[in-house]
Amino acid sequence: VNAWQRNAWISLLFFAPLWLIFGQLPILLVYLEGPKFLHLFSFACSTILGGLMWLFLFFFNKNRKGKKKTEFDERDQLILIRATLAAYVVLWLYFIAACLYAWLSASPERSISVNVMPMVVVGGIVVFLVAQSITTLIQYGRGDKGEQS
Amino acid sequence: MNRAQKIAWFNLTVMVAGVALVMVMAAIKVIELAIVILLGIGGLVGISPVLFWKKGKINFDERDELISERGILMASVITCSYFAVTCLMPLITVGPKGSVPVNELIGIVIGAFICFVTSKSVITLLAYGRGNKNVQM
Repeated sequence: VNAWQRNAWISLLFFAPLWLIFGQLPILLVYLEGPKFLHLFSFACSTILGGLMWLFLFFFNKNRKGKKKTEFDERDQLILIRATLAAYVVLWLYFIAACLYAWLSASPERSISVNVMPMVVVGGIVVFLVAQSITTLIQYGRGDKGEQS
Repeated sequence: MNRAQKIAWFNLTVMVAGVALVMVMAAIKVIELAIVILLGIGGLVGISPVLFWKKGKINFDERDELISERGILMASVITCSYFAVTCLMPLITVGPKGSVPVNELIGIVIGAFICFVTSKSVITLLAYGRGNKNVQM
């Protein structure tokens, strides 16, 4: 298992569920209790931390492997680009599906709560993380083909 | 000008002209025609690779593939940012207890499509640059 496979597993098992919980919770609390500083602050914190997840993975891998090894070659780059592209395709389909579902299943007055929209965005980030991680793992395959762990 | 550039120019022109027409139609309250124009934009953008197809010629090498891949990636980033901003904006403007019409969601999706095609075309044209560097007509 190389560094990028390990990153994908960490994203899939820890970051995606954490982001799902800590991203959706403040939106739900804002809806139930009204906008309070604490809720908005926690949402801002989870957004910033979510955006900086790659930094954690970067330092995690750097400390684990040492600085002298080459850990990112052309193949890894190609896999990463393709995984990101595939994740964007999935994300795009998810956004369309979410909007169409809300449009089709709306109540007779034909309006939805504004809280649904941030939930769709947070869900989209989780979908992106999961799709990217799964695509990365699928592309690397099961075996360690030429990988040095 | 190669095939990718021609497609990018075509898509950009269709988008700008189409969106301007839709805005005019929406302003004079001819919504049905505006929807037909939007569908027409989607159709024209969809068939643009076929319109500029030349049989028997190699019209897509590694450089074109790299530019196309990067264009799609960057356009996706821009589109997702647009989507996030448009989804979070009502929460700030209307308030957490408010509601928005569902038709706005379809508008967001159509806007995202326009944003994606326009940004991809612009990025492709910028990546190729002005001159015809080793590009055969």
